Amino acid sequence: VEPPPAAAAPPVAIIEVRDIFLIKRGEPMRATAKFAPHGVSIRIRDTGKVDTVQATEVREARWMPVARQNQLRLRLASGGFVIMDNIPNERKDALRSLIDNNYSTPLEMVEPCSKGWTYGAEKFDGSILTFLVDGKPAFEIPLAAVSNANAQKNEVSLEFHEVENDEMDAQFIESMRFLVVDAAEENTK
Amino acid sequence: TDQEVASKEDDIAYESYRKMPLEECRKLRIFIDKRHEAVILPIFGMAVPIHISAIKNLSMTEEEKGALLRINFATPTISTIEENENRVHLKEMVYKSQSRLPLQNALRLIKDLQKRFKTRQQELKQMEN
Repeated sequence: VEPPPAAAAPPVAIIEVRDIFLIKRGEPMRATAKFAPHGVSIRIRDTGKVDTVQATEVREARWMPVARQNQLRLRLASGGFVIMDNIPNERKDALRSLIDNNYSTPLEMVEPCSKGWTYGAEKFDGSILTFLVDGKPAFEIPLAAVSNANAQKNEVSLEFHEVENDEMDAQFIESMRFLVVDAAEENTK
Repeated sequence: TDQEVASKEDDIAYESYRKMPLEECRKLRIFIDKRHEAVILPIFGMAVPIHISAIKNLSMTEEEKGALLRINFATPTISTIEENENRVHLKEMVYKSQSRLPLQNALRLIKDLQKRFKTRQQELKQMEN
């Protein structure tokens, strides 16, 4: 009787996603990400620099549609975020299964608000300010992009750093202003 | 909660994110979607729809290199704030670009859409009367 063939080692599931944007301080950098059961490595195209994330470091993993396809955001034990944009829909199921099965937290699916309203609530999350509309993220401001902030009476204004971009027609946000209403406070005056 | 506070009369740009013009969103430029009466603003990598009714006025400033587009949004005045209101309102955004033409086009298209929307609102009112 022939011995049963030795079981082949299961192939290490690595998911490679090319042409992503690694977002650092609000600025996108072209990169390729490799997701493995033990973690992620992200190679920045222009510099060749590789960022790595250990699966055990991940405290929160979030999938959200953004302007450039989808964003995968990892919150690390250190409090920092690793943000990757331009991930195609087709990679969602495979990445979800890899993260759910191997990382310390499952992949959370988030839908941004698309209602078109301009009022909501602010939420600070470490280095990110999220503007929630109807309870969902409408937009997120990386605080590193803010060059100047002012608060006066009911108004908060933010100015942003100039961004370098080769595209002549690129459109940048120079400043934003918010009206902050606290009715309870108004009524006690 | 915020959901309860939001008025039912508010106009909705898109019922869900999937209904947004995703190819246009990818360009990260201001886009005017006439059919949905919405303006899509690129804000730090997100495509943020704003219903035309939320836009109050716009202005453009030409600079030596490019231009600025200022968008003011409708906000309540202190006297019209509801008792239970406790919200943050986006009041103003300023976009900057080295290319003036796309900002000029955006300004014109947004103003056209505002006119169309106001006309339609007036027609609806007249029909109700």
